[in-house]
Amino acid sequence: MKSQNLVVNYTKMKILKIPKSKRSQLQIQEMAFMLVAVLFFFVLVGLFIASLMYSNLKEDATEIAETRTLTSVTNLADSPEFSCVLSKSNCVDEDKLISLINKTSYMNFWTFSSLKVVKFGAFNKSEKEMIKCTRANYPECELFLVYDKDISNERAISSYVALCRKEYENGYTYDKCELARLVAGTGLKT
Amino acid sequence: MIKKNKLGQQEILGFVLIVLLVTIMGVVFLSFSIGKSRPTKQTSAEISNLLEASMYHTTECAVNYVPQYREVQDLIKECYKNPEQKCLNGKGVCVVLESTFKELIDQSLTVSEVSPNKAYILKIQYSSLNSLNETIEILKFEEGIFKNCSSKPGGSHSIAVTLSSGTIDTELEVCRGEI
Repeated sequence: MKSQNLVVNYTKMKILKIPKSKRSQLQIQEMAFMLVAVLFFFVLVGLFIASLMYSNLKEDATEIAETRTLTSVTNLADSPEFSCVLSKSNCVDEDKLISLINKTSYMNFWTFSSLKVVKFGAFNKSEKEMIKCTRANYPECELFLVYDKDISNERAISSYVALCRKEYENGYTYDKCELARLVAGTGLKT
Repeated sequence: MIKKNKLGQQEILGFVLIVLLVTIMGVVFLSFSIGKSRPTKQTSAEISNLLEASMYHTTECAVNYVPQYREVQDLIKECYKNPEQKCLNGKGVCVVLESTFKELIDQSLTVSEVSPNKAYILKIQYSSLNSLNETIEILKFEEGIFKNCSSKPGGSHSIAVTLSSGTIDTELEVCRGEI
């Protein structure tokens, strides 16, 4: 206890003995340290915000990539091979679609690894449960499999389209449209 | 001697106060920047496509003769112009519109607790081009509860009304969350 008091007294005496110019230097040093600390703090905050902004940028990039793929699928619906005769955008002609089935030449025509159209009634069914469309069962079917390259590492992108065909009833021909999903597969690069 | 001690204490106190002030400012700034990333309404091409394709869906409602079956977009116009209108099968046009549209959206989005889509809300309203505030609600239905949404993608589709200068807007907003 006694030794501690001695040390305190000695330090106090030492401080008092520091000349005025030295004390100012100390004060300047103190201010400089404080400025460095504040600057360091702001740099840290800036880095944190930059990382947050960068993560948002990544999300945006993924969203843009997805929108681009979705747009290419939507454009596919408006291509002459699929589009409806009626002036409807985002519409697939079911009668054209049935004629495209089992035509292997289209495998190399589009860049997609697989191409199918799922009818509204089969939205919540697995592919195995769906009735595949053939010329024999058309239009009482659920899945139009245009082609499938059977790629194992595949990502499927779907877009909603209107699926229209000609129907005949009471001596009249009319257009019967229903909601469908155009599913295009893309092989993932590993 | 006391005066010099006090001066030192004041300096330390001032320094502590500055540090505290800077920290509080930083925290406030951070809370603002993080708060901005809360889920906001986003425009989704998928939802817009769903709405556009749904508009062409042929319903069971024929108004004049069979088989002049109306599309969803025709029923929307019909429901706005003449809500009391009936189809040839005796059902009201607005009733057929709601049941058909709800079935389309339910089957397409599959709203449940275990699926990514937690809820959705669909609004159909007429907006006059002459007056900014004139909006008439034609139909509104929803499924699920909008709670803890990680994102809220949405889309809209407009139909021009020929007789009156206005548009009928269909808006769909979906609540997406973690499974």
